[in-house]
Amino acid sequence: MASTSTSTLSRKLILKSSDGEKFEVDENVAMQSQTIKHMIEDLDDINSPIPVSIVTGTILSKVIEYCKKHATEDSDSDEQLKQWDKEYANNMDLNTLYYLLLAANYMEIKGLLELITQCVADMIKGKSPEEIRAHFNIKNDFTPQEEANIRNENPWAFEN
Amino acid sequence: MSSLGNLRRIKKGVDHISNLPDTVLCYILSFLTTKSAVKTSILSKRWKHVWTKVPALDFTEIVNISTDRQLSLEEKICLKDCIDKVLLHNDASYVQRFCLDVMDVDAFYVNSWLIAASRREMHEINIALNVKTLNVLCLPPRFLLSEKLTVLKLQGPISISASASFHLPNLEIIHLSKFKFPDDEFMKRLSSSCLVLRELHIVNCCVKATICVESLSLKSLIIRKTRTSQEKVSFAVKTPNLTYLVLDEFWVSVDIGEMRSLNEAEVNFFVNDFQVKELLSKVSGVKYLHLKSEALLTSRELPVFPNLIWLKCHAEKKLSKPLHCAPKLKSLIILYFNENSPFDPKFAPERLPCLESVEICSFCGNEEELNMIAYFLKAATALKEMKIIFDCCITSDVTTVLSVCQELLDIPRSSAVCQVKISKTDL
Repeated sequence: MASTSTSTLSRKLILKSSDGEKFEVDENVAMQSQTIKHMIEDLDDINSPIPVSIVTGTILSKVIEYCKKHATEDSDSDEQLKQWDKEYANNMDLNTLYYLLLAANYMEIKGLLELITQCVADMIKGKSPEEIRAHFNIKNDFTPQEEANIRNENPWAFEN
Repeated sequence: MSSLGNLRRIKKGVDHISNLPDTVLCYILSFLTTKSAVKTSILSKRWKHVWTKVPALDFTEIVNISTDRQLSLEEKICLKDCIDKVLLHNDASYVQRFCLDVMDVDAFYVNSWLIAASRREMHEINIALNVKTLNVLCLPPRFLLSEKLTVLKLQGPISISASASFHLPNLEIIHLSKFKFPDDEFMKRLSSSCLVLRELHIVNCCVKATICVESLSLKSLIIRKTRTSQEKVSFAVKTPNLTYLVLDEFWVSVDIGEMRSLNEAEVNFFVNDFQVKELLSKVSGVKYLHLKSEALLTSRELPVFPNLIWLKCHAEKKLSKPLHCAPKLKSLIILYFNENSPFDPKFAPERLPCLESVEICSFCGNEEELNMIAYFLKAATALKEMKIIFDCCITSDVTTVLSVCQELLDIPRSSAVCQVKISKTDL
């Protein structure tokens, strides 16, 4: 898979997921993660696998898919890239989005973090509190009295 | 395998989002209005205080304002109460977005909010005031000393103290609308002190007599419909790296420096003939040009536009001039046909070898228009498309439309690949 490389100049790195899966990627792909960038700087031997400790192989492959798309300086216009981002995010279920968010946050990949947070924000937008709870399986642990108090604190926020 | 198992379990109802770290939750909520963010305080105990750390203050959509309605007293109190409270409780030290869109609120309150907000480090400021009062709101000086500010958009009767100093090292975008310039020096000082400024829009602003823009970094400049108590406004623009210019003004005097990178321009103004020539020679390097005023077309001489490939303008007698001056023209859009001074093909170039597409908007079907179309179909030997959009004044009568269509399709074309497309104005 990864041997389709076009440039022989780019160094290869090996990323190792929390469940032991290994991924060989171009250095410029991996460097979009600030966390990995800092790890490489401290590394003596870049041939040893770099552990991405909290990210599973399934999620890491999706993160790499994003980074690959955003590392290549090919003919894609900004508009095309945005469209790709949109489809990429729309194809994820809530579960995957959650783990991707954690991964992007941990790996410090600014673009990916922004994409997924925006996507989750769009899910919240325009929904009533009840609808938000149902969508994200949030359990209401307030007593009716506590809930009434919060509504009274900022009544304007709950008007339609 | 195990991940599939996980997925099923989650689908049954694990609450993942509440387990996210505060910073990530706040980041998610920062894309929403403050009203939506505060609304999440009721979801569960985990969410109760999250909104107080959200790095965005977006006070739009607080009260439902249907167009131009006056706010009731209760609504005003509610608005004030809400903004006061949020500014008091939200303790994010940096704010990605500060948006205030209010109407019909006392300038005194707005001022107090701005002062409270200006204690935070802000990246984007977007203030729109639709107030009926004549009072001009003076922006707190601290707004102009923002290290991290990248976007500043001000709309409404807002001004800045004439003696204010600027320190805006990261400011890239300025949009001013209905803004009141404190003095004639203001824009010169502001534009020349923002070293990474890319985009400057000055629309409907009030000035004394002059707007002076000086910037080495500026790429995009729009100046429209400036208001002044003087007879005319004078413009001095020194922006050598500009790529996009809109100058849409009446009765102006202009002093424009070289702009060798200019790619696209829209110009519309009445000035004397000498100045038109002077100005057009400065924009003559453009590829895309929207000539808005007939006054420009009537000017006696035009410079050559060696790179021009796209032109949008009116059709009138002197349209032949830009056609002569644009040897590479590929696309022409004619917005409207001036019947009082109709286009006469006699004076136009015999051949338009580069022209590939012509679009005629609001076609009414009169004789002169048909002559003009016949001219383009004959002169443009490489024409690929002639698009004719019928005006609503003609489309109501079906028999006329059919006969005009037939006439249009019968006109001989010198380009073998030319298609004539007819449609009607979308209303």
